[in-house]
Amino acid sequence: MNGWALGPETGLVGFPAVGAVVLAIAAARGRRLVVGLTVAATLAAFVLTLARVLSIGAYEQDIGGWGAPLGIGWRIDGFAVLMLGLSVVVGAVVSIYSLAYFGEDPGDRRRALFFWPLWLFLWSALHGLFLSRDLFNWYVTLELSGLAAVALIALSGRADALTGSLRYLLLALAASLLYLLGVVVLYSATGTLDLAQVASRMTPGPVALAAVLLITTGLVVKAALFPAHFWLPSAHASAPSPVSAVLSALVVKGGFYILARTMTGLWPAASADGVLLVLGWLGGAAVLWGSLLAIRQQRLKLVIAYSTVAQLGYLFIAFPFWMDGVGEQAASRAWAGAAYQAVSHGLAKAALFLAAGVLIHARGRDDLDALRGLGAHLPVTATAMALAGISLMGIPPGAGFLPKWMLMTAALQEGRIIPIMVLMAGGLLAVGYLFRIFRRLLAADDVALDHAPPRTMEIAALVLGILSVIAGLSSLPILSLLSIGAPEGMNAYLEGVP
Amino acid sequence: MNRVAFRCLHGLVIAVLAGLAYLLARAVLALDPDGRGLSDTVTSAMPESGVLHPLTAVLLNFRGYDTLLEIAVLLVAVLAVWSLEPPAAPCSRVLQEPAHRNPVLLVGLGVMVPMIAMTAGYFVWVGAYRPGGAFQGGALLGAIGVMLASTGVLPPSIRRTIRLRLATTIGFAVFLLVALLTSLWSGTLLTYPKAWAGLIILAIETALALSIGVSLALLFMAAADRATVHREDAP
Repeated sequence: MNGWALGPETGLVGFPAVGAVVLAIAAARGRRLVVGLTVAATLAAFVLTLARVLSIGAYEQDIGGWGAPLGIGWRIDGFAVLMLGLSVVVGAVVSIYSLAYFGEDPGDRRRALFFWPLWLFLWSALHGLFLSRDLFNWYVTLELSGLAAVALIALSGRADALTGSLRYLLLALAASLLYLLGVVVLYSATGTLDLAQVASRMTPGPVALAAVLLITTGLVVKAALFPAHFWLPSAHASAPSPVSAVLSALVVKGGFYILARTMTGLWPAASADGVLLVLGWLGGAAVLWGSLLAIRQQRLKLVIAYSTVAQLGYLFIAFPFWMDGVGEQAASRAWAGAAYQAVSHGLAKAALFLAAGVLIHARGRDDLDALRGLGAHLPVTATAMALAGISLMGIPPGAGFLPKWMLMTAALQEGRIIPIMVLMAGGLLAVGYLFRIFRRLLAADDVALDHAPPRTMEIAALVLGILSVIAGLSSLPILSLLSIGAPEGMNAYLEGVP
Repeated sequence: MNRVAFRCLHGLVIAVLAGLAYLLARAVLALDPDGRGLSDTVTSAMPESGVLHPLTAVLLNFRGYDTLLEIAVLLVAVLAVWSLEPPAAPCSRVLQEPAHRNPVLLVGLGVMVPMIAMTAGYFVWVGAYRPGGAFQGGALLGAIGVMLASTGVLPPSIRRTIRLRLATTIGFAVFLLVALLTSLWSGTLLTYPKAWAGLIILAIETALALSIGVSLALLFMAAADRATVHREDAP
């Protein structure tokens, strides 16, 4: 056990699950205490996990002590810890925000009764997903997080929320089944579910190709990549704001994470270069299409939701750089850029949705024109939105700048002009849709607030906004964390980072 | 979404699925028909599993962590249904007159419910060395709930008392507790001490069967309730 009696990463899955059970049984009694303890314990578990990875490097855990192929394994490396960190930080802030968001009117009290166990189960499942290296276990974590997300979207009970959540449920189920079918094919061919073992036993051929395409199609729907993004805006925009934040910042990243893991693990054996190239094109299309639609929306949360469609596109622009014949430097840059982008988008988008929740609370409606003049009344929230916006537009020192810069330099190294054009156009379009919000928010109109939003909500949004700038300033620690146990062939660029 | 976009999307989905079906068929034909997967590995690890039936060993020991999460999925499903319902959902009654006015039905229930309960207990117990276990036992317990609800023995509305919430969650709670305690013991989740494995698995399965039964019955009642409402709405 490397001198550690207890694996601290266990707490990342265990503590939120314990909190979920307690709140499912105890309902409203002692909620603040239970939520506080759960958040504190989960943060502590993350800090210990981070400390362990920094001191001993990437390590693995065999659940039940059986080891692959019989049992299920976890792999805790830099990429996993980075995504866990995103989930823990965003989750902790969203939890504190939600204590204030679900106020005291009877409808809210009822929603809070179910919000807490569902959200804590979702949190636990996401951590399970980021820790795992087992193809079937990923399916189970996808199911758990997906079903909890569906229930959370429907929580408001409004007609559009029910439509959005039902659409998401049906698509997520279909996507899970495609993924599962691919896993079944891989298991039949290799007799194991452990990612590394599957990769070492795979040979190129019809079996590998079918498995790769089934898994990719399923995960692309889960990750809402264009043109499979159409379920996302209605679901993310109609959910309660803290739920929107979690969905956009974390849940869609689950599909991306598994895809990135299987890509770098399995694809060399499957020699599926064509798939990587198509994913790259779809990513580019997502950036342009999502941004253009974001510019056309009239409701605040729909603008932010379409921006998610666009920002997810950047993650996939990295994929063609892992094809055969691409230089190791460029491949490695693109890989690190995608992982970094997942984190920076997560922080900025969560900040934006939490801030949107504050503004909607203050106004009671969410069309863009309702925002006029709110900035003067709610300077903290306006600041949070501005900081998040800087990151999304890709302006330094926002965290969104460096990932795009890394993707651009990778493209330059390979002499690819199209990714560069898409990246630049994406930044420009982001300015377009975000300024539609800022222009109204900072207008000099003299308006009165309908309701004063709770201070906690404002501060929570600001904390995430500030973190999205800090994540941009602390690029060196993030890149050196990513280099710990980086997949084969993805370390060339990261080795140069001091 | 406008019509043209919808048609395009429709066509695209059909094309993608047809392509995947073709590739899948090719892959299945290329697979080794004598492939045995992990059955040999499972067989050789059986003596250490604490049970004699390979299915139970895989579900509760080798891949117990998957089962733990699957039970959470069932619990989330119940929570999701509850979150969409009024606080005390009316329980449907398929029969027009309640069972206590129908002596034949009452006697029938009096015989069948204890028999089914006993069979459920047997299934949980026998899972250690034969096909059976928490899911089969739980399904039977769920059937009792369905019978009692549809004959009107259960009250017309079910309040989500703390006892009901406990019964729904106890399976997951016990499983999670075992997982965390064993991780204190050994450093990883669900590593059972070898000598105790059989007993631990039986304890988990008993709690699971109860929760699975209650959850299934509750899900049935929620669905049946919708169906009744729908029928009454019809002209």
